[in-house]
Amino acid sequence: MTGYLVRRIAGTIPLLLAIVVVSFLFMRLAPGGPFDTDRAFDPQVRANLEARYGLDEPLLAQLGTYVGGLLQGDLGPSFKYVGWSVNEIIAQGAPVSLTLGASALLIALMVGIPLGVIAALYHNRWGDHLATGIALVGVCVPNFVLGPVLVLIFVFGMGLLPVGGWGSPAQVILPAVTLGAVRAAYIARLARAGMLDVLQQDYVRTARAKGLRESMVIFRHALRIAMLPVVQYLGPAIASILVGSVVVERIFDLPGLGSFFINAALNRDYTLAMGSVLLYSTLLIFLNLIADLLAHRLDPRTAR
Amino acid sequence: MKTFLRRLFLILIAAGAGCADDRAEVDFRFLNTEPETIDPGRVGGQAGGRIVANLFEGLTVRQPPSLAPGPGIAKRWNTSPDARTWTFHLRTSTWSDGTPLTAHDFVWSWRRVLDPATAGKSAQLLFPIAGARDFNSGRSRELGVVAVDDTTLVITLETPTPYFADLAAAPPLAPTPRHVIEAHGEQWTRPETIVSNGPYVLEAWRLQDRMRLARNPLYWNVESIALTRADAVAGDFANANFNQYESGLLDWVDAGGIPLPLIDALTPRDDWHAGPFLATYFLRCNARNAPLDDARVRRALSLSLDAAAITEHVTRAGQVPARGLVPPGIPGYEGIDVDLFDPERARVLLAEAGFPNGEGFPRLRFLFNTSEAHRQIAEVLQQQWRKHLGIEIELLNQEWKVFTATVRAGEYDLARGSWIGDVLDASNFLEIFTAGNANNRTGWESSDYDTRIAAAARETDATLRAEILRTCERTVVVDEAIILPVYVYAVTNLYDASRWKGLEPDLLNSLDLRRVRPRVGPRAGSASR
Amino acid sequence: MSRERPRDPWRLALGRFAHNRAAMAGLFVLIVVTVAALGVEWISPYGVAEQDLARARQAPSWDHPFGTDAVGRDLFTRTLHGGRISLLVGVVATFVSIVIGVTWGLVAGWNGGRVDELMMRFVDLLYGLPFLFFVVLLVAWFGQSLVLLFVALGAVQWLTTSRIVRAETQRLRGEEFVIAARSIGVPTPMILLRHVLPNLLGPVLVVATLTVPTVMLEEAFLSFLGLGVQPPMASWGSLASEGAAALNPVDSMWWWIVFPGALFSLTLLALNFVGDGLRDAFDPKTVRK
Repeated sequence: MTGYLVRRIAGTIPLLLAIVVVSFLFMRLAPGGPFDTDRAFDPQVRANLEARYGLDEPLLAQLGTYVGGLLQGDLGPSFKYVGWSVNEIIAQGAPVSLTLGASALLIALMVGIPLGVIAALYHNRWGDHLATGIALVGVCVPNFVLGPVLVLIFVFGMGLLPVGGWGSPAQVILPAVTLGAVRAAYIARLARAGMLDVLQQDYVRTARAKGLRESMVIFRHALRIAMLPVVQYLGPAIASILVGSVVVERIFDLPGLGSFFINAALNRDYTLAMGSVLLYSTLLIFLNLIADLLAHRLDPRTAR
Repeated sequence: MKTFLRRLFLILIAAGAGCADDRAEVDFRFLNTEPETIDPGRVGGQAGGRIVANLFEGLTVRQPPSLAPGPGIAKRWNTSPDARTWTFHLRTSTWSDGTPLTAHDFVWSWRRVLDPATAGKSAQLLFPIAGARDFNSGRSRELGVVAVDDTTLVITLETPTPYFADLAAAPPLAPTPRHVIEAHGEQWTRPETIVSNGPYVLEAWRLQDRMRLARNPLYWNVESIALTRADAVAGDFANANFNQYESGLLDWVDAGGIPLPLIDALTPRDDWHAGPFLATYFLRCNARNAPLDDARVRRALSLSLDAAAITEHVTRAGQVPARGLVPPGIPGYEGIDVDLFDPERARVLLAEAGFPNGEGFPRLRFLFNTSEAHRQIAEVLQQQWRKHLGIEIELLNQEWKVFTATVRAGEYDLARGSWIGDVLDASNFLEIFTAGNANNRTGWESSDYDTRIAAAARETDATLRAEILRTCERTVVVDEAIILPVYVYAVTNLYDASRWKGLEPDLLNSLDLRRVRPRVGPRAGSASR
Repeated sequence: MSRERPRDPWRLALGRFAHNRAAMAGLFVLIVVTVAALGVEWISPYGVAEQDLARARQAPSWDHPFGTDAVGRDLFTRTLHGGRISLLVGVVATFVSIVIGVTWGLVAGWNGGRVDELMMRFVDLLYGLPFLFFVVLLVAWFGQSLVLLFVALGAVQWLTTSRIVRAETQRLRGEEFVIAARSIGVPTPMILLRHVLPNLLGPVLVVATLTVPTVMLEEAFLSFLGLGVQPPMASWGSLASEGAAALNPVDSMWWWIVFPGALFSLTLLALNFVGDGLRDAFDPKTVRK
């Protein structure tokens, strides 16, 4: 197990380095720089700005400086938010995104698993059709359609929830639901499939024949095995939540990492964009690792 | 699984706890895009300028609604007869940490703005000061700003600059605390370290969320401030911002919180307030590219542009078709006031230039930055030129950064442009088109024009000066049609006038929190609309 | 050697598919939508870019069954046109991803050994990456051409295809007829072409049908951020994003989001049904009771 872990982690370092170099090249090759603004600068002022941020050095030198900083944990200064370092900006935005993502995942699991289990238990009866129908809607309605519609209903229609912004727990609800809905749908499908699979197995029939109560049968024996496909999906689920958070943060105007990333991309804030991509990639790689480990442990086929 | 969930929940709580903050103690919340910087030495845009104007106070203060310069840190001032030497007499005042504020602070601050190492984005605003240009390019260390003593500041200018009192109120000319900047460097604008001298201090700052301003107890005029705390809330999306306003989370929004599709529904409301803005929306012609090098072609394009259709059907928020380049409202300057829609004349001109009824006219490209509003305007213009001149224009939109780079490089035929005045003077708009000015970007130049602009700069008689500037405006807009004016921007705000005083829109779209006060005492719960 | 003619797997699959009601319904919807999208010019009297400022922002009516947008363009026309672009992006980008994925998987599965290990290790590494962020950067900084969109979105999706193709190729490599063909000296390209590729078509078709909706969603994601298709061209994503941005309590233009959103969702639903149906048709082991 440890060897496997070490190998996996070691394998990611060259990948991360490759990401850094690729992102860096992207940024420098793209047309338009961070100092192209509505008010053109006097050529002298512009030259001063470029000198200040080292943009007048050769490309390789700039890359070298950046990587050197990275090794010390320094992601560089932001080009747009003068006086703020990328580390600080990420430190402000990351908790928001993490809370959002975690809440969304929680909702996805707490809604998706029961939905799937119910569908499996009432297989081919109205409960199944209803649950599957809801799940299907979740898969096919994009989050930027779902979000505003939820706002229309729950904010403007019923006045129950705040419209956006960040700071109080109530403001997490709608964004988290919007973000988690699609994953909930997928998880429901997987849970249903897994549950159906398991319920047909011999040992389940044996347990039933022995006269164990139905609920015992379900929760003790079947559920754990049935959840395997769900756990295997956790990796991709987290990835898509991270990506989807960008759109949800836009809709609800949340000061999270996703908003910063998109603005950095649009403003050619090189360092902030690179820092965000690095952070997302690192996060994903490690979360995938954890998800894989979890799946490894839960899978009866590979469990020691 | 259960332990996993439990751990997840704990993380959630922990993260959420870090986000809680107190909303109840804030009196006033207004929309303000996240500024790039609030360091007066580096500030460049409207968003940053608004915050700087409330945190720092310069020699003079623009007094709404006319924005005439009134005493700020300077009690009074006088000029020499040739308007090239200005003497400001400062009052005794302190920074928000108690350190005394003197004329030396102004000298140090202005030198810092112009210092090449600072790379201040608004350095060019200070170029009227003697020696400023050379100082900024590093060629000299001499600057025409001297502190005779702690309360007297003497400024020598390159040319007579009658609007200098107004310029002195501009954000980049605000004083900055030397002792703080030397101690903390670039990070001095953080809430923990910032020191300012204006009506408010920065209490908290969350990027892309809000900046909290608190009343400065050491402000020299603190008795006149009504608000204890104000939040500048950042938001990029008009619809989301508007929704926040409707929910009562914002008390004031400007165009950034007024979605275009809603304008018709909002204009009749009581909380709709609009006024003229010192900004013009125009199109640049690239005079380097044929056939735009022929003034007749440019004039034809200008005269077949029906700005009224745009302001009535697209923008619909009180914008006015432009009748020149310089927007109305500058004291002492009457614009050229021409009617720029004459399709008959346009067709004649186009025929004279060799393209009768648009035959043989090349397919020009109209460049604009990606935005629904600009797109709509572009499409309308495309149809108008098709209808009146029989020519086809191709629309091309680019993302903002690419767009500015392209225009700067001169790789366009027609490009959307705009200019917001920095100071209340026509020269601010007209100087752009001198040869070599970084904001020209049209490739057009005329030594005669440059001579006239320079002559206006030297002219001490206000009427004569205005006349010279008028001829310059006529050249740019009518004779050469180097730019095609479309409309004058409008300041559009939403706020409840029955609850707030002092929010009347002014020409520079500023929000002077000094004047803002509630009508019926402190907040009485959320308002229903 | 007995010559047992195997039952034609295609016939079997087709039969199973035809009995799947949901899949057939999905197929029907897809056909209707595609025909409508391709034939907009015959169906609607309005042009896709035809503005009429005086009739802007109108609610659905007989003249304009889906209403009009901010500059008076007929939304029904634009929605159908949007379908054209969305489907085009979906199909072409999926095609790109299939090409890359099949090539990769084929090479890896056929060669086996070190090459296979390296190639699939590469795939594993890339699996968790937020490709979409790179696409955002790519599209934001290198222009917004449709071609770039096709290539970039296609390049995001090839991983799954490559895995499936590799698994199939490996299996086929071990089949009797392939071993026989190799032993008599049939050149590799011939084997691949005549024996391997045809057998891949089934699984690849399934993956493709399920990739199209994913790609369409990604294009919509980009459009929502302002990076995808630009007006006057429209895609369902860009139309939905305009509609989403317009929702508010004062004067919601609900038809801006409801119609494109519904049509988009319906098509995604249909694609999912067809994809599931195909999967069940080709691999009866996964059929649920």
